[in-house]
Amino acid sequence: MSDFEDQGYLDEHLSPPGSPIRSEDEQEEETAPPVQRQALPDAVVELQNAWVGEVCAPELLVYRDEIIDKMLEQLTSVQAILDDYKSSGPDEMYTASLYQMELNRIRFGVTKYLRTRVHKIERDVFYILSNTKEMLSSGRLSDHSRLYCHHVVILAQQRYCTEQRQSSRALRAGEVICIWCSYIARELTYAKVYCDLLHGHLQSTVLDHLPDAYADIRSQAGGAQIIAEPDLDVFVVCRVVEDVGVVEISAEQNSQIELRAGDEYVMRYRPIRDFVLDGSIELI
Amino acid sequence: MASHGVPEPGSEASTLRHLSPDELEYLAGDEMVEVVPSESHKRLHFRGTYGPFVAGSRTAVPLWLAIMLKRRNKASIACPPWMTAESLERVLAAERREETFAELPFHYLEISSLLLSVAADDMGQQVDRMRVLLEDIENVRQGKMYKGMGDAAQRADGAIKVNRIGAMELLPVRTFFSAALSSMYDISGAKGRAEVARLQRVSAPDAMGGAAPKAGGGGGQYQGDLAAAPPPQQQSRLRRFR
Repeated sequence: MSDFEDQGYLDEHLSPPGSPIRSEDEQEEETAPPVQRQALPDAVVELQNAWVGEVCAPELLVYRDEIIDKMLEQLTSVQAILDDYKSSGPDEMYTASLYQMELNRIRFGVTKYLRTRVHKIERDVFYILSNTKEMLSSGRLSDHSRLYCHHVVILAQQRYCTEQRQSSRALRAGEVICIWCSYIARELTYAKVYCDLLHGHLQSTVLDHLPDAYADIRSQAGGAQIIAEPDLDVFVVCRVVEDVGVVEISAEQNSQIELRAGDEYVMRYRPIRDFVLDGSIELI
Repeated sequence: MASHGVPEPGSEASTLRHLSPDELEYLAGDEMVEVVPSESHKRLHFRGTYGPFVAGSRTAVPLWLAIMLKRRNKASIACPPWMTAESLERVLAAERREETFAELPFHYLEISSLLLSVAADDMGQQVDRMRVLLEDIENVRQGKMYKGMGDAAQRADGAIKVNRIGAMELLPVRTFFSAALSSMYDISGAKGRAEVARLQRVSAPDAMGGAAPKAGGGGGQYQGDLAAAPPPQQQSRLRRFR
């Protein structure tokens, strides 16, 4: 989705600030003694932590709409002030350039956060659409994201139809996946060749031998799922924000560890998934 | 086809699963350092209040601002207390002595490399010594981390405590080690067994289970699930379709 316009997406989501900024103490160690520092970070550090968390997590995390809304509103209003200020004179230009740099930094953080989420949505679009209700209710999918998913699937299907006009067969699992492969691959020829190869392979080895009940990508007949879920068994680096207590990390080996605030671990995502989603463990 | 979890260079997955060093430098930019301004300036109100800047007296500012001021010759940067040669020697001794990581700021590598490249003349007389010490510290810590990951790989499913590890040191952990540990977990069969157990909890006992190969996959990569052989009672069902 390289055509995706970040600015358009951001403009679409500007909304008046509602919730107050949550103040949080900074989690990371400070180096030089804070000589004249006042109550800092608040939303910007939270935004950065949210971005880092999204990059590290294998699935979509809770959408931090209160931070993003506040940031977007501030970006536009402060930019307007700065543009006026810059035209006042050369001294003001220097100060304005410092403020502009800070604004650019915040804008970078917001863009990165949203871009990472969009990327994850594209990657797991079928999974998200099958589990829409659960993801909306747990706050992990905003309404805008859900609309975006639908558009991606529609576009993918349209593209497939134009490419395969002669084929009159109904969409089967293998073909939908071929759309998917071709959609995210950037070069059309590579995508087509790969798509044909994969399609042929899946067709001859699997799909032709399955009863029709398994042909739909959403089919869960007999418990077999064709849509791949995000892999929750990846290893992630996490930092414990609040005391969590004893967590079982392996049922087979019966191993448990106690997670205390401030500890950092490299471990599988699945055992700590609930804690990450509600914020008591953050990913770094 | 790339193996499970390992991103192909240039693919979408590779851009997602880790932070680049440039992004880490951006994140490190918010750490506070002290500068000595060469000109006076009024207060700056960013997320906090910095200043007022009085020529000659120390002020605490974020690193990105300090670098910007330095580049425009408006200030010189004071060496952070943890980065003096004496302090680094103590840290190196502690690293060699103990098994855990010594106390260093999370972004110590980014901060030190930025300061040594941009403001080396402000760091005092022992700049070369500092560079050598930092490199030694980095090597010792890296050795500890590799050993820790190696031990974890033996267990195939464990948690490794990495308190006080540095941000830049986590880069290979997030990409290479994470992929390696995930593969180890997969190969050990624990993943397949856990998945079967989960599906049996969720649906009826005659579930096909996670033994069926998954078609398609996240990140545009085909994930062949070759981990666990299907349990005996499910092999008979598969045979029907051959």
